[in-house]
Amino acid sequence: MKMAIKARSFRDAKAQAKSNPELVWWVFMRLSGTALVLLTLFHLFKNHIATDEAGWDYEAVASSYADWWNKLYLFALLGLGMMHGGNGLRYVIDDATAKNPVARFWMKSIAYTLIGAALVFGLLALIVKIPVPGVG
Amino acid sequence: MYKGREGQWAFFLHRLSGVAILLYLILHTVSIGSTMLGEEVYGAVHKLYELMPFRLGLIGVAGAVAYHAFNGLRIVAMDFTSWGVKYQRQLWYAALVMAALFMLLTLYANLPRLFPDIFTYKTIWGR
Ligand code: HEM
Ligand code: HEM
Repeated sequence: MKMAIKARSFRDAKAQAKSNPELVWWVFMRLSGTALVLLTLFHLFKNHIATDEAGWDYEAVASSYADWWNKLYLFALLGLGMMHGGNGLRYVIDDATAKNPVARFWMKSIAYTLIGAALVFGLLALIVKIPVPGVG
Repeated sequence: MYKGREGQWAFFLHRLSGVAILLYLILHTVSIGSTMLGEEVYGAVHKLYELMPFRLGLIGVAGAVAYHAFNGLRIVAMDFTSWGVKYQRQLWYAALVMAALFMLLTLYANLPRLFPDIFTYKTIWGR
């Protein structure tokens, strides 16, 4: 039994949703996904095409963190990416462990722990003041 | 929902790319965020990024993100519009082309940086 909604329109999704949260997640995947198109592709363009990835040494990253608009951008990328990816992984685990509730429990526990830890780490990196060499 | 041969491939690739990007996002957040632990720690982590297999892998990450993004837009179009359903097959090929173009652009920009002796052309972004 699949938990994720496999609908092809909002009306079908509403009819198939077993619970309200499941419908909210269905809508969230589509909204966050649309926002992530711009967030990820522009991020890749700026950091991987227009600049050399190898040039991102400590100083470059620290200076980029010093800009609050950039931090806001990264915050949205981090938050939406982790929530969208985390919920997507839940769909995948639900499908893969349809007949095995024990495996489902463990896979979800490990996945959520890893994602949660990375999210907290990433948020901290955005909150903590990181000194830029030569500037302080 | 996902009907026909293309639909199966579209679904499988969307899943594969989604999980791969999530894995990369976790590693990437830890590696970039390690700046808060100081220059030495970041430097040690960043050494990994200088390894050739890793740098080539990043171009694959760019392709995976682009495929997932454009195919994701196709899914959204199918879910909310009637033309999205009608042209879903054509839209999938469009998504593949867009993803390939984005990956080629990434490759074009990075080949002179990766192999300066072989690829000596200059891009507008420099090295
Ligand atoms: C770039 C823009 C993106 C768009 C347009 C997009 C769109 C979508 C859509 C529409 C779905 C289907 C959701 C459903 O079945 O209800 C989905 C699933 C998924 N997405 Fe994304 N997404 C994007 C970025 C990302 C990112 C950055 C990640 C990872 C961090 C990610 C990971 C996943 C995963 C793991 C799934 C589940 C795949 C499955 O159920 O087969 N996506 N995405
Ligand atoms: C593969 C090529 C990529 C490169 C070279 C790259 C490079 C960077 C750099 C240099 C930063 C730090 C500062 C800044 O951007 O201003 C950063 C931060 C970040 N990147 Fe990327 N990125 C790449 C791909 C991605 C992808 C595909 C995602 C999302 C799925 C992503 C998500 C993030 C997030 C969330 C942060 C902020 C982390 C934090 O401080 O918590 N990156 N990236």
